[in-house]
Amino acid sequence: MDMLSNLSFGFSHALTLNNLLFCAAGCTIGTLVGLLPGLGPLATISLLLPLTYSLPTDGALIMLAGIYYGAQYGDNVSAITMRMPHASSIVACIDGYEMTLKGKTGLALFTAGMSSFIGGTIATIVLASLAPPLSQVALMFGPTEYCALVLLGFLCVSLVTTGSVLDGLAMCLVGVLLGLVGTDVNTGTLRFTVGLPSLYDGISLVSLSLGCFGIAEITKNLDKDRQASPFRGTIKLMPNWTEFKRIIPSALRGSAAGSLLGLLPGGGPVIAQFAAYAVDKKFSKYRDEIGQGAIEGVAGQAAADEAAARTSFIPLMSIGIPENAVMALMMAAFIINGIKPGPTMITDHPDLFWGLVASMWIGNLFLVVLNVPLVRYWLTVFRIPYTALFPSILFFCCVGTYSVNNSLEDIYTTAFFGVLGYIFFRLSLDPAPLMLGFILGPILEENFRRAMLLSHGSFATFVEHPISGAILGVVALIFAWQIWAGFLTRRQPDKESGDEPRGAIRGAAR
Amino acid sequence: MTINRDLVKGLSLLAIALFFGLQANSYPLGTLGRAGPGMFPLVVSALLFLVGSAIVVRTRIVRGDRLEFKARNIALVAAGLLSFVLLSGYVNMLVGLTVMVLISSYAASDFKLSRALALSAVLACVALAMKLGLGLQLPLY
Repeated sequence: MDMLSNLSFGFSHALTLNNLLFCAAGCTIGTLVGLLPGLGPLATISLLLPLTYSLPTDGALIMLAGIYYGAQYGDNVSAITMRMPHASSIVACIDGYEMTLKGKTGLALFTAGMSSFIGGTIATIVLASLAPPLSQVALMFGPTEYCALVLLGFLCVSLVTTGSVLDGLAMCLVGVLLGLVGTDVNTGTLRFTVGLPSLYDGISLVSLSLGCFGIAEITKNLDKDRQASPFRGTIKLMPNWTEFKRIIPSALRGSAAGSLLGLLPGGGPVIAQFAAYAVDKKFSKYRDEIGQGAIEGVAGQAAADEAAARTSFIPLMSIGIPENAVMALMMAAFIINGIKPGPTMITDHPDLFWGLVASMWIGNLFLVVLNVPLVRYWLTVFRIPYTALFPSILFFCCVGTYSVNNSLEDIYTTAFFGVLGYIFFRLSLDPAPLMLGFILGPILEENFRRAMLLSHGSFATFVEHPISGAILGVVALIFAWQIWAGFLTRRQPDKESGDEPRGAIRGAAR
Repeated sequence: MTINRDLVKGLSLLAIALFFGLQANSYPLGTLGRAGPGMFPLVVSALLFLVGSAIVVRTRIVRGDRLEFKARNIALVAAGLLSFVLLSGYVNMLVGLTVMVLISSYAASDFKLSRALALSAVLACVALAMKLGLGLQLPLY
């Protein structure tokens, strides 16, 4: 019953008036911004990050987490009503949008809200029971283990986010290099600053993510022809009993798949949605209807989405290694607010950790209360024409960048990465691994240097330590399997049908 | 003329690797046991160079897609951002904001001057509210 007492301790922190307000504010603003076309969770978090600077630490973390799952949920809503995901709710576009076409938007949104709640609740329990023991294990990790974990993370992210592993790895490495720009902490040498004083402290995180995920995304949308939403404004929200009964089993399956996949390196909401969808297609009683607007097609993926969004906090908070781009951004946000996520976070700041866990469940409740009855008002966001919307988003990107350091020069950096992100998009390179590399680059360098210092320059140290050796073994296995798979597909160039999910991810990343 | 996208991708990655690698090489490298500031970036650039070369080699085996590039919209957006910074710095942010909205709105297919001006007026009010209400230090006027 240790967990229960810890959770009640957490609730006592999360239920103070201030923290409740921060949680509610985070969820509301996150949902609102997440609804806007062209802004996914990454852009939303970086846009709203400056808002948390002046808050107390626990409030700031609670609000950031609220922004994250609010944005995730808002993204789901825009996928269902507009078929406009931002690489985070691709699966919701399939059945959710079909339901909208059939005039069942309200039912789809209720299903998504309800399943998210179920998924979030289960994942919060998983988070509370798994993170503390895992952090005990992580206390044994030294620099070699951290290096190996980072490499494994790079490889897994490359596997899931882009069509080709090589593209993903390349983006991770570019990210690492960008993360090294600025003053070297060990020697004080200025690296890659190309003579610009504004780069002495490194590339601003907000500039990079708003450029790559905000500005590039807006321009991407501008290039497409826009279509009006088939959503007709009137929605019937509450399901009848037979419909309601169909939500539950699928949501439970989705929660299990999401909780598990949220834990793995490279995992997270996107891959969890695909897994849940595949599971439903195989095991659901109504599997024949999936793909044509079935409730299960929405429920499973929404639960998995929300569950994975929460369990992906586990590697971040117990080991200190983010497993995907959004968590990397979260880690940077934690550090900006004065908390270093890692094995010592739970013991050093139990009030923060348990308060955050408890607030995640409260935020979940907020999302349901806020969204299920009020969702029709949220949808008025879609009435704003894109012509009015995108210059406003540009302006908020500018203000967001500016307010970090009150410096106009930082906006040049944002514009630069906007153009770069657009070029990457045209070259079909996904910027999400770049973000992960950017955050993990300095960590990798520090641990690499330390490991080499301890081993007097011998690479054998990475294999001699059992944990890092095992992780590197997994890395080598994945690599060998990829090369082998590459040979197989070249022999059979026509056999592409079995690769559906990854092809879809690639299509959405484009 | 069609340009192979994967070839451009590989070559761009090689260029990035060279850009960082050559600079890293000019910093003190140190030894592996006591790495200098140049060592780690050099290793990473070398890896990136390898990956880039592999992508270039792959284009000889697998047929790549055609590169499509629309310069107009990104150029308008970038020009809007640049004029925002310059005008905010030399005049004030309200002028910068208006000019940015005008330039970037032009990227939309249904550009209307009246609508763009109305939008900048709305955004100016929002900015004013952020300055007075949230206490952001915006150089508005």
